[in-house]
Amino acid sequence: MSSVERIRWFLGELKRVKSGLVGFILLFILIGITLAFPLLANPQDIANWSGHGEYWDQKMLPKLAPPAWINVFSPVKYPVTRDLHSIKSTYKILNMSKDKDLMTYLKLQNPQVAKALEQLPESQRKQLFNNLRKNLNFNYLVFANMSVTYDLKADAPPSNLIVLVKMGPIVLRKGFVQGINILFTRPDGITLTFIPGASTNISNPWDTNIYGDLNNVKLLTMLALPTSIINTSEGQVKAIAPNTTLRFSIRDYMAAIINSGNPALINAILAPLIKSANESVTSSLFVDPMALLMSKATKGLLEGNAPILKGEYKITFMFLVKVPKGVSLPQFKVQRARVLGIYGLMGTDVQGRDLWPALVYGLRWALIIGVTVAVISTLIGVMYGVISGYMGGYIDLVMTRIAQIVYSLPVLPLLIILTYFFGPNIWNIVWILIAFGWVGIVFTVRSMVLQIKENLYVEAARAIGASPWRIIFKHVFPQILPYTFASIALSVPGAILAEAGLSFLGLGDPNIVTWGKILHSAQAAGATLKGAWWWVIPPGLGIAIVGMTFVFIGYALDRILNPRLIR
Amino acid sequence: MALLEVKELKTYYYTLRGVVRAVDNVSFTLKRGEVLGIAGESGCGKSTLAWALLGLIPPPGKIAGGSVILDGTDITKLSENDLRKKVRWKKVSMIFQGAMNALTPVFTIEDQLAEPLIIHKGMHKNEARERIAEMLKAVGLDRTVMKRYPHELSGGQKQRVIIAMALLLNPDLVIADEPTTALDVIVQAQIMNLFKKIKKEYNIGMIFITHDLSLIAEIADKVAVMYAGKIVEIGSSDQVFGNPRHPYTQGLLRSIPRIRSKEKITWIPGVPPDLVRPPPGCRFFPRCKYVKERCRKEEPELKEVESGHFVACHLYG
Amino acid sequence: MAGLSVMFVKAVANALIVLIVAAFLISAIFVVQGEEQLKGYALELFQAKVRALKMRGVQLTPQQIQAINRTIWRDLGLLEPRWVRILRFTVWSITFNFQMFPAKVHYAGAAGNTAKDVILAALPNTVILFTTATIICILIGIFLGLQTARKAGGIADRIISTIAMISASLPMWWVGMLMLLVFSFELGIAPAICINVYSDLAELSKHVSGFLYYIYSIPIWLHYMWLPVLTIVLVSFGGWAYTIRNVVISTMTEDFVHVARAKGLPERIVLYKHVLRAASPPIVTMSALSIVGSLGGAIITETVFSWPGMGRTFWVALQAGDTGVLIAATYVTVFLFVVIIVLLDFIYALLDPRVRTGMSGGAR
Repeated sequence: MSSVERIRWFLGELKRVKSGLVGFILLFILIGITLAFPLLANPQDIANWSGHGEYWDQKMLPKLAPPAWINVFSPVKYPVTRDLHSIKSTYKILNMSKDKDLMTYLKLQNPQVAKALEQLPESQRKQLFNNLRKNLNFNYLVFANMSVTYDLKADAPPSNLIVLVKMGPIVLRKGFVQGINILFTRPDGITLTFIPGASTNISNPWDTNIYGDLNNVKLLTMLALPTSIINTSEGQVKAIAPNTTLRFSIRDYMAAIINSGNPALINAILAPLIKSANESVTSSLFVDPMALLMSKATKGLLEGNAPILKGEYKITFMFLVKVPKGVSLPQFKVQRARVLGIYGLMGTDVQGRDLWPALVYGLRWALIIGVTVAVISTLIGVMYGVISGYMGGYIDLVMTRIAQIVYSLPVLPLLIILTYFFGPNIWNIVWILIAFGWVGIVFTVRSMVLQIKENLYVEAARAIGASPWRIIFKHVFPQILPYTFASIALSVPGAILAEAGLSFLGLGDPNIVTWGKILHSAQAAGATLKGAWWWVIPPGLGIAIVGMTFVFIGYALDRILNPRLIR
Repeated sequence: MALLEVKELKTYYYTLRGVVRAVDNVSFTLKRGEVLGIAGESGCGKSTLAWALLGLIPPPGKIAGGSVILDGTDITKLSENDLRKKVRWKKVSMIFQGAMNALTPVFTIEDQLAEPLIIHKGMHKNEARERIAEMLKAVGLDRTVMKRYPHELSGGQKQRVIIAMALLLNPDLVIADEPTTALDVIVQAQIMNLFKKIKKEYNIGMIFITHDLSLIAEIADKVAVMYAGKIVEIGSSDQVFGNPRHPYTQGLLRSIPRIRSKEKITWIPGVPPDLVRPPPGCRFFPRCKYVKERCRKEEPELKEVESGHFVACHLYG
Repeated sequence: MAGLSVMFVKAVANALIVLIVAAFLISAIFVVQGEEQLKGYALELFQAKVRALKMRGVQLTPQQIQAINRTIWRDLGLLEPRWVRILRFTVWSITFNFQMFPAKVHYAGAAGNTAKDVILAALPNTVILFTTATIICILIGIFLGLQTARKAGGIADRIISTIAMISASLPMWWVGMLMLLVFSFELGIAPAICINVYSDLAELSKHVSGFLYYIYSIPIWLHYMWLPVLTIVLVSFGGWAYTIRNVVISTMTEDFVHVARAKGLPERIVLYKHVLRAASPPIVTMSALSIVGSLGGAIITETVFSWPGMGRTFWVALQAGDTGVLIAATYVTVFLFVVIIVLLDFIYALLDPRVRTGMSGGAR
């Protein structure tokens, strides 16, 4: 039969064995997905998968978040991860070299003195002002106000709210109160301040008493704000450098406070809320910070049992900064505000990494490893079986004995040991898998060869004087070839499972992302104990589907090409 | 009354390739004590016919028409249950090819021979043992064979066991399907003598199926020649061998070497047809040297050429 | 049965050779592999000791420092040439002298701290789990296999074939994770960490002892083992049913099956007496090999469930660099494997008379 006829016959037979059709279609789909990877996901995500914490920090993804589509099925609607864009800012400067501004400042500090000064004639006032200026240690007083609004419409609170505020330069000096206040306004009107010691009554923003002091080292640590030495025209000063980012993560911040075991601190911040709920705090709380902040102020609030409070929430950042001579004016900007909830097509893992690209990428390796190991080990096994069976005699005896010994070795323990020995490089693993994989097919091939050998045409060929190799390649091999194809397909799932198993145990190549590796991280992070089904199910399902594809194909090939199985 | 009347029996296999008409409109009768020999090439439908008489055609085969009347009962209409309890082995039994794996390798001879006795006759094991020993003696085997396993016996011994097994329940009809095919000539001769002895001593009807015409000549009273699922010639042994009419029968007989004859051996060119798509008209026409236009279109029916001798060929009207 | 005894003796002799070679190889691999870790451990001990002495103000000459190092090395057995260590482990393995192998870390359920104690605790656990599961699978497999073989091509047959194909590509340990998610996390009816069986048993022993203890410990074991067993059975039964179905179908095409039917035997007898009996050799082979394979104690599945069996022990030992336990565990597994193979040949001969050799008579 010509090649075209052969193919046509094969396709016809394939229609008969439906599972084979399904298998091949699946295979084309899978190969398509593999090739389309750059279109389906972001390759950068994979390049930065391990050991690039900054990349993922900057992406600000929620940690251990379920996929976004669960809202379709869930009776409880969860908030979806997104950036917030309703940001309002105000920026006011009081220039101390301007009389008017100086006057405003004095009015705020000491209204009586200011009133008295107002009565004075201008020249006297001017003189007094100049004197004052000499004693003032700052040139400008800057007030900045940035508020981010979040409308909570979902049935559950978000897992976090993060705001990145760019700020600086702010000079830090003892006695030089630099004010900061971060307010949290709830839809029910209750306002909290995140800064211990600051006030929620902000009617007079120029009043330093309503702020916390950035010079307070404890406060700087709580806010994780770095300080450095900056150069000014007056020399070097300690300051919060220009373009410093304040990363305010409400969850992390509040969790630290709640778990501090310091009732005074907890009360300082949560007082208005606790009072409204008619509760009291005596020790550490064990409640989800976001639930605490965004539930109704009723009984059960401190256990996390209060119902959710929907509506508009506002986070306001207020700064009152004194700018001394030689220092540039501080800039304040909300660089990014983001609410974290459910995310993406496949959710995220415990490190906040998007699982979707990893899932799609893993397919590539599953296919590569599976097919490579299957093809090479089957070919080796077939050649081995053919030679052993055809040569017969002593060679056959020795070869079969060796194969039996290799066959009876416990595979997984040795796989593990060898991987330990040679290092978890993916190609090492591939070779080791091949080293164990070739044996399985040897015995069947050998018995097939023994049968073929008995056929008369082989004797005839030998009588003519054909060399053993010629006989093997011309008569024996073509008969075994169809079985070889079926075998290759059927060995793929085993190879994929073996590599996945090794990766799952942590023995996989640390530089690539495979499905086994994802499951390894899942197990290590206790995903099963935490119910993170989106982390556990998809990679395993992927392994199963790829395996199934090849099983279907192999089964169909066996049925179609195997002469022995008559239905 | 005839022991066996087969009327227009059709047995087809419904495969994925198409419908294989293995037995296509076959009719014959058999009297008690008579031996019918069925001759034909491999693949002509002889074995299917044999299995059809037991109601045991392997799927995807089915009896597609006709009737098989054994001792007055149409067994094609019987339920599987009735077939099993009343017909199989009790009325009809089969002697299989020695080359077949007819005996289960994991049980002893005694075990396997005892089965029908215990199941059908309700015998006790010890009773059965005696009967088995008797039967083995009748076929020329020592009773020590009972404790052996099939793989320990020679071809001839196995064949005798199979014959013994077939006769255990004293059936009315015994079908022998190629009983000597795998045996060497000497053993074959011994088995044929055994058959002749059985024919003389037991008054049973026998159907003897083989491709070897010389064996049929030895033992059969009546001969039917099958080709491509049909009977092309049927008559008494003398008639068919002495005066073969069908070109196929003639061809078969001419291909047997004879020691003293000076005639050259001729053979029939060509191969048997595909039973899924048999040729139209006479199925033998592609290989027949007397072929005419009519043969290509019209299927010949069995016509009586002398008393009791029927031929299906357009040469005869 | 003279033929059988000859076979048996030959098989045992063969097995002994394999065991000796295996013991040697295993010891060699683990001694060499563990050497690096052992040397590192020795270095840690050495540095700690020197530091401690220095803190007490003791002055040490270079010779004294050398001597300390030597002592440490000697205690850890590093002074001896490699081949001596390997041979020692080999001999101990063959003679089952596992109490000479120390265990470096603590293993759950072990009575003492030698490899012998560890294995005595772990092996029965693996057997309880996997052998139970395998037996259940075999029974289900024979039942389903026979049923679907009878009606080959029917609906039941196609369903079983599909299940077999699908479960051949499922990682058993992943299914275990799923089961934990559903039954342990969601429904809360199964424990997530099976090692806790020991703490439960310890609780029990505070209240009852002796015979009653054994009776009451059974429900505790069942409570911890039902989920892993269910997992194993779910993933494996399809494959079993399918393979048995294939064996039965190919047996059913044999001539003697038709003959049995021709003899008018009821279908029940044809199936269960002739077919099953003739098909039993390959089925028994599969069963034995599967049971033995499970002795390796699916390492990963046991790890997912934290089941304290041989598999998990192997894994813990490997991570801790516990050479003694590693050698003991691997050797015991190989030993059982070889024993079962020998038994298997024997049983095969029992079931299939064609395999028996050297018997009087034979085909003439």
